[in-house]
Order: sequence, then C-alpha cells, then structure tokens
Amino acid sequence: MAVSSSTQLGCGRDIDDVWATIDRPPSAHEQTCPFCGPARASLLELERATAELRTADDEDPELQAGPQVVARILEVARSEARRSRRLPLSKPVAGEVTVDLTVSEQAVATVVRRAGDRYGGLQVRRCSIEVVDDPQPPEVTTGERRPVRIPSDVRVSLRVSVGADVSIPQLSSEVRRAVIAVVDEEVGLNVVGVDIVVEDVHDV
Amino acid sequence: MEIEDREALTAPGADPHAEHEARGGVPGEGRGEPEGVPRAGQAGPAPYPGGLAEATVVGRAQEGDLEAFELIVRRYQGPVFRLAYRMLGDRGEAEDVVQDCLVLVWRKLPSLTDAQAFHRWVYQLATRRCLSVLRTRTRRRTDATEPEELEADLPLDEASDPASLAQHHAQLRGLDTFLRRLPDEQRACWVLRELHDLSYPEIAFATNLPVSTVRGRLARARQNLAKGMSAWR
Repeated sequence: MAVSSSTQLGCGRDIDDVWATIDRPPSAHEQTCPFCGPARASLLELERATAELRTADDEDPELQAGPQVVARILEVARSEARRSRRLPLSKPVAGEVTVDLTVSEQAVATVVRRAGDRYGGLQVRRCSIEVVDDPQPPEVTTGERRPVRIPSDVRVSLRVSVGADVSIPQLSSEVRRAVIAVVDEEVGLNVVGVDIVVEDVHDV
Repeated sequence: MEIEDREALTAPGADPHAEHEARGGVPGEGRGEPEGVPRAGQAGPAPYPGGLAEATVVGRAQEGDLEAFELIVRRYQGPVFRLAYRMLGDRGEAEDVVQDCLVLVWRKLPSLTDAQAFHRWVYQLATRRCLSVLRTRTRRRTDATEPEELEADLPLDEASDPASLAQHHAQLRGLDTFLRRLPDEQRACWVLRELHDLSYPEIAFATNLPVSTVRGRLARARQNLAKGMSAWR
C-alpha cells in the first residue's frame, strides 16, 4: 500500500525510518544524504518542542476543567446512582409478613472494603453479599411470646488484588476473620462464609 | 446533554479492530516506539490515593461506589481536558467534552468487561467526542476555517512573557500553531501519542482505525509539524 506515501523522502526512505532511530547517532547514510539530514534535524527540533509543550501543558493549572464541571459530573452520577439490592437484617419470623429492616448491599460492601483496606497488600475490588436461605425458618419466641430478632446469615464474596510479597493463605484467614467481625459489629449480619478470589497481583 | 451511544458500544472486548492490534506493530524497532512503552521520565497513569490500583478503583466504581467514581473523575478530568483543548482549541468546548465523557463513563461502566482496559476506553470516549464536535463544527460552517481564525481563538499574552522566556514561548507557539493546522485525525493521533503516551494499538482503538493507518497518520503529522516548524523558524 504505502509505496506512494507522501511521507517518503527524496532518497526513498520514509520519514518514519528516520524517526525510528532519532535517539541514536545519525547513520552513515544520514550524515551525507541531502534528504535525511535535514529531515533528521527538523524531527529533532520537533521532539524538543514536543517535550516542552507537553511539560507546559501538564503543569499549567489552567489546563483543567473548572471545579464546577467536576461538581456537575458528580451531581449527575449521584442523581443516577445505581440502587443496590436490599438485604434483610433479620431472618424471617413465622407470623411476620414483611421484612421491615433492610440494609443495602452497597453499604455492607463499603464496610467490608474499609476493613480490607486496613491490610497492606490487599485491595478489595469486588464485593457481593448473598443472603443464605434458611431451609427451616426458626420459630423462636421468648416466654412472653414475642419474636426475637435473629440476624440474617450471609455469604460474602470478594474479588481481590494482593501485593506481590504477601502470603495469600495467611492474609485470607486474617481477612476472613476481620470481615466476619466487622459485619457483625457494624451491620449486625451473621457472616457464615467469606469466599475470596485473588484475581490480580499489584505492585509487581 | 448529547450522548452518542455508539461510542460506548465498542467497549474493549468488542473492538472491531482487535485483529489489527494483533497484527499491527513491529516490535523492537528503533526506540521501541510502536508498542508505546512509556518513555523514561514520563510517568504512567497518576497513582490513586492510598496506592490503589486503577483496576481496583474501576471495579469499585462498577459496583456503583460513588467515592471510587469521584477518584476516577479527579484522575481523568485533567488529561481529558488537555486532550480536548489540543483538539478543539477552546476551553468551553473542552469542558463540555470532559463532562460528556465522564458522565458517559459512569453510565457505561457496568458494560465494561475488562477493568484493565479502562484507560484506553476513557481515551476512546474522549477522542470520539472531540472528533464528533469537530465534524459538527465543519458542517455548521459554510466555508473552511482559516488558520488565522483558529489562532484568534487562543490569544497569547505576549506582553506578560519575561524577555528571557520569549524564545521558549515562541517555540511552543510555533508547535501549537502548526498543531492546530493539522487535519483533525492526524492531530488526534499525534496528541494521543506524544502528549498522552498512548501506544499505537491504543490509538487505533481510540480512533477506530487500523494500526497501519495510525502509523501513517503519525508519520504524516510529524512530517507536517517538522516542516512547518523549520519553515517558520
């Protein structure tokens, strides 16, 4: 295709060939060729100017979107926030029709991520929480025949990235314990299992 | 807000030009240019707070985590603005691109199948938005824009430059001027490569062109810029 390319120089070489070796000393051909020599010089000048333009652009505080633009984007995102599933805080109780107390899956995920973030070498990427159905809803009553709230059983699934130097089995068991404790304390759900999938390694 | 849905439909994984990526590029050539390894002294993507990997932040945002999305917005608003500003030469339009692009990111995040592909995906959305603005602009105008007219968009405050910096600024202005005279698609390829460190396959993805075409556009862009600058000097 590119035979008649307009980037071909008078000597038959392509300007891309000159560019490809611009960081090396000029070849014997380039030192004497009346086409390659000037092409090389102007490409070098372009490279210098490019580096300057780039630095100037990157450092220019004016070359950013204004804070009101950022605020508008976040506003749109908030107004279109994806609602997550609601999880019942308590197991269904015989005689009760509705589950009135729920927590969003996202709120629980935030608690879990925050717990995970405390471990160096671990980044929780994905976190989902499933309610584990009880095959036989308990009929627990007190002496006064008032139902007692029993926390729902949930299974937490994590997809994580770990640092290159961590011991995965050790970290997993620590994280498992921490997740069970924090979800119990801060949310009041009973974590019956934590599945951890290591999907990536960071800081390699 | 005008959103082009087809922009996001070619999310990574569904790239019609993936085969070009596989075929394109001649590795190990000269300065290792085609594969676009970040050059020495030029940082890759700016890190996120707490050393979070981009795939982590993206994964969280995909689950609807607004805090993670805010990190993404703060990380990318500058680069997308600079890309749009160099493509369009207008602050207001560049800010519109930032807004449209990042809102689209939020809306389309759930359909992104590979969090690792996020970086080039954002550049794809931003580049297509810019090219679409430029097409609209061309259609709207009865005759082609004169370069002089474009330059008037960006007034340069000569008086405020200290004399010692005059030469430096003159040179930047030279490149800046010739950059604005490049055909849109040449300019897009050049800006993505030289100011944003995208690899040839990433540029091909962003512009929806085969890698071989990207290579040709870049060569022509460099030739035009180098020629313009030596003549100008």
